[in-house]
Amino acid sequence: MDQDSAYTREQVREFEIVGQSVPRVEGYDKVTGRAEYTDDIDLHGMTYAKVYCSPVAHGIIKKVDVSKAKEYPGVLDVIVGEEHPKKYSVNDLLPTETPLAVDKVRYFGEGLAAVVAISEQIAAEALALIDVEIEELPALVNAHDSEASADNLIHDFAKNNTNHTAEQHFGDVDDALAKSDVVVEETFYTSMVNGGFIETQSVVADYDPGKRKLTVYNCNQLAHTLQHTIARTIDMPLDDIRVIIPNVGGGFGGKTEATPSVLIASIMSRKIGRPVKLTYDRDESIYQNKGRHACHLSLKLGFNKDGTIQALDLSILLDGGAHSGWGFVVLWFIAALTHLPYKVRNIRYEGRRVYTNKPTPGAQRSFGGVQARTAVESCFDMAAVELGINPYELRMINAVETGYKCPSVVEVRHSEFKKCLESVATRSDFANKWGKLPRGKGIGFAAGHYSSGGAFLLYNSSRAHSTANIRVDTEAGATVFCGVTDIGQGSTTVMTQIACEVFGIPMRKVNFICQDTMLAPMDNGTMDSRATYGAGHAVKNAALDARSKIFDVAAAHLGVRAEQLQCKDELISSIYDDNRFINFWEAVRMYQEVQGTVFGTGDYTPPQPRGDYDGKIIGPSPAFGFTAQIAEVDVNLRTGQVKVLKYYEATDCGKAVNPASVEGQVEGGVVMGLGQALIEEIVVDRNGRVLNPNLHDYKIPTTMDVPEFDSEIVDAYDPTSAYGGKEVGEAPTGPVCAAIMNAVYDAVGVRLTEVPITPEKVFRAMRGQHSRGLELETTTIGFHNAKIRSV
Amino acid sequence: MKQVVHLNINGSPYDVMVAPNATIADVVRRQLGMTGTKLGCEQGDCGACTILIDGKSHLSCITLAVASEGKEIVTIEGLEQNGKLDPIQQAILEKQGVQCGICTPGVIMSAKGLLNENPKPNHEEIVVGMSGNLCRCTGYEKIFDAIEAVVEGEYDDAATPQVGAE
Amino acid sequence: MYLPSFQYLAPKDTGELAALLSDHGDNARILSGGTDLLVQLKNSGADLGYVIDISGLEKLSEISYDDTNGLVIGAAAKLDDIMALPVVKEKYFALYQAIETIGARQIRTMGSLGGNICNASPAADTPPALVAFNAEVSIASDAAERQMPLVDFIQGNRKTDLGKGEYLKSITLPVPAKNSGSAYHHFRVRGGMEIAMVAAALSIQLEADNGTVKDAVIALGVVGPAPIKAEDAAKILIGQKPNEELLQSVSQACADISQPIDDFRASAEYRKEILRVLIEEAFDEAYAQVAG
Repeated sequence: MDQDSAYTREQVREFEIVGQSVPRVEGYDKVTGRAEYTDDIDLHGMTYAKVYCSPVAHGIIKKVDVSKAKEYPGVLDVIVGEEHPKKYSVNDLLPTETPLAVDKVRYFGEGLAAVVAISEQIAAEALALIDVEIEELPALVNAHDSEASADNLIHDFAKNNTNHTAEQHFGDVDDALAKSDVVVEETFYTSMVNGGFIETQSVVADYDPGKRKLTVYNCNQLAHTLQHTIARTIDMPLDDIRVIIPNVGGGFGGKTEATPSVLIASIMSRKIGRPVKLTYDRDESIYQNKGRHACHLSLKLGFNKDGTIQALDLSILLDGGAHSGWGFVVLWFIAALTHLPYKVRNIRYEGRRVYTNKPTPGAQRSFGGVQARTAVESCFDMAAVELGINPYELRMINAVETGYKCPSVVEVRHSEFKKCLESVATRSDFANKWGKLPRGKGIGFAAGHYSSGGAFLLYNSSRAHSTANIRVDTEAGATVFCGVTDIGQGSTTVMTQIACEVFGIPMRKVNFICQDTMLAPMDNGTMDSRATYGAGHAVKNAALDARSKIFDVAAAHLGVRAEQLQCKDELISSIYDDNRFINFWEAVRMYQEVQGTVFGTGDYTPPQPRGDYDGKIIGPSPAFGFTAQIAEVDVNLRTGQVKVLKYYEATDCGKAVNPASVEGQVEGGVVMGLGQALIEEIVVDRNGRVLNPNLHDYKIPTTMDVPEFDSEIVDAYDPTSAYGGKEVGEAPTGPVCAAIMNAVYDAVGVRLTEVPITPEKVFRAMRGQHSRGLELETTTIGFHNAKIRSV
Repeated sequence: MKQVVHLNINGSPYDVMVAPNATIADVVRRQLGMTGTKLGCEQGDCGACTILIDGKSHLSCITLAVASEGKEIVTIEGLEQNGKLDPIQQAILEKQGVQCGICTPGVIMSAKGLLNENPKPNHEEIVVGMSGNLCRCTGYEKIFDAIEAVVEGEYDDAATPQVGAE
Repeated sequence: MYLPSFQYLAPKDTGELAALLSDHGDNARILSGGTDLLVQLKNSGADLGYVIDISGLEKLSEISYDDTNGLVIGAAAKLDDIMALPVVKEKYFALYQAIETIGARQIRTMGSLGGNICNASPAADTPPALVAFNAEVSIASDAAERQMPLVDFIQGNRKTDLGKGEYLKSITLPVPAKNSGSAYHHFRVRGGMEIAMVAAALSIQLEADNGTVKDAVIALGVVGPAPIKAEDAAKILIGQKPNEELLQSVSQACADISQPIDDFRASAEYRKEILRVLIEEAFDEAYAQVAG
């Protein structure tokens, strides 16, 4: 259909269900404890696996003797790494990881062997009988050291321990910086943090020896990617593997990868012909990490006197941990994210990702965004001071608008970013507070954006990014099959709302079947803030396809043209004559009598890049969400402790399909950013040992850490979207560190350049001392007497 | 050595054969199939396993089953009666105090315990009273909203809601 | 995550408890609330002979107060039950504040005062507050009962004076003198579910003029393997009307004797700085309770 004319019509239309804060479709199950998560699954003949975790971070494996463990009563099998040496990674990009370590261990907690037994406790007991000998190598726990280490290589093939590099250059940065009236320059460090989902990764692998097929239940965000990874790594035909995603207890990006446990359980289940469950303890979950990359950034911004930005020059070093994971992608994401949300034409980006002997980071909410925003938004604040322009004004001067084309040919097809900036500035009375609060009180501004799905498919194929199939009949109502995963963000509810909106039927008449590779068509999955935008499109298109068939029948019956029909409250009627109507289900029944079940299908693929696009794997995004944020803080002048008192946020997520869910994304996203800003960091000692692999020492915010919220969803409608909606899941997390850093500067006049902003760092900075955290990062001193919390 | 313990869970008697080192979380999840009680850390750091024992919030991951005979244990499965939700459940559902849902049973049981001790907590008391339950999704705002709505009586006549707009 | 294997014993009275301890003391741990012990056992993984549960012993859970004996708290008394007692908030405010700080509601419901003491974690909240009240502990066995100051009872990191076959029976806090006030201040990085990084407790008594310090007890927490009673620092206050300079010398004296650790959470140097802030703030609060 002609999309443009349809959008124009939709934009002025009042919606029935889109725009309503409908409670979660699966909410009843969740509040009653009925909702099933992976670890809740119990299958006939279930067995349980546990992994022997390496006690050292770097070393040559001399011996893994599992003979005694194999003999332990109740143990069914034990496997070691060399039995399954095939390497994997995200989308097979430079595979480095094996299900269990082979020849060498590269991070603390890496699996060396796995036991499967009739109970989890027996499996755990048998681990103690495994005899391991490792010749320890010096651990590389700092990205700079790792890069400088020519002879101590984590992977033999990786010279200087370099994993990937990325370069981008648009315009002439040197010239633009030379001509700029003001150039600000600073280095930053953002810490390694963990997704901190309350559900640790869990898998149940169920191999059916009769059919020679494998069913895997796993709390994963990308069912189809996982299916591919399992198939490649354990050498099974793709269509012999079925991945089912039960409820996911939080993902935030960290569950976009296959954990080794999925492969271990699959291998073991195939071997013993019984279902195998493997659930990580919290420490194992933190060793697997897949959280946010620690990043060293060095940024220069050039401005003219009038405040217009002239150049952006960014170089970064990503601490990649032991394996490839998402590394290549995060490197390019940071590049792609620096082009926005300001109109900068001269951009240079140089990025390197190096291996270290640390838990491998991966994807985490605002993937690449936290690092980029922390540097850029801090430098904007510095420039505002230099230029004598209020930080809000400076951002308004440079903010992108609808129709802006980046030098990389990325196009912003819709933006209400300026509304966001204005909204927080007004609500917080920023102009009257910035620079004017008493010492110890501060206000800080930061802003950001995020993409709504990239242009390239993870599978390097030309397939649609999302496909939805719909079956409509009087036996089951409208049943939507779609591969997107609800990880708690609410996609099932939003997709159901979209289908209902098309059909004009109530929520309970729609069944949404997703998270199962056998039932749902291939989907790029829940990542990159693409669900509502990408899968939403597919669901809408599928529903329109099915509806057109139903409308054809209704039209013939009513004697009107199909395009003149509408459906509301389960009544199909002429838009010109209310008296010409037929019940929706009656029309469906009539269709079924002659042609059988109504099927509809629809898909979505973002516009493909044209011209000399230089964004590598990411590709331009079809849409961007925007956010503006203001933090008000109190800094204790004696202790340096920062308390965030109030947080203002404004979001442009286009049309909020479910406003309460949008608010939930914003609030949760900001609090995740606040955790990284103030209290979260995976701490690794000089030997690579993780010092805080528990939820007591790895501190995620509690109820007593959250500020008072004042957020607003600005009035917006993205006409390129299914119902005007675009991303909100990630943008809000990006600028939080910078907003707080800027507020701390406003409060006490010192600029923190690394997170987490611990009280001690602020204390030292206020006394003009070098921040201790950076020292720790670069030299890892002071751990000789560190103790892991034992209670 | 395993022994039989007589547990009163959600108003019903259960005779279960347990080892002394079994926690209540182990027993309800693995032996009784009541998987509504969740485990997030298994060492008392996250609150996901919160249940009520004699009306007060306890962490079932560090409570021994053998030590719980003769006590009244209530898990998330015990709140809903004949398809009717407890006001806290309904408020969490309607105010969208639930996202991924893994912390939700613990949050609800903790809120229940809080209101048992203090039926009319103010905002500050709710914030402090719920500090033992980590939630990574919501940023807590909607959980506060839900508990406050219950305190204000908005859900006194709670009935099973229909999912979604009709 | 599993607990190691053990045999569970639940004595019916203190006599039986003493007998069990006499028989199995070397190979047993006392379970009260479980919030420390069970977590420790889960992490240690080492099998243990016996866990002796005292949570059902009513006699050990009693809390009483009278103007002669002061506040007597049974070792198994639950933290939230202690906190709920009006006299605690009224006369032993520092203890109230220390309990309020512990973990979260669930932990205070489950945990006992005796557990918080006997666990002997350097980061425990109640011991410094108890030291500030000159608390005494009663230790019992099947043979005898003895008393000693709490400050001597906790000997170091995870180390107490409990001998073989002994158990902590009760904690006694003497009746506070007239004109006295107390406070417990701690420093923590996370708002909730957090242990203290540094803590300070003090109790002070003022002369009838409500200005001059008659007596003071200062206790430092988390800055050494066990709570430290800062006697020399307290002496600086006695007979003085407090002013900023005096308080600084008191807090300096406290910092001087403290031995904080240097770890990834914070440097020793910073912990000393924080200790000074806490001492001064705690004094101000306690002083204001009396002087108004």
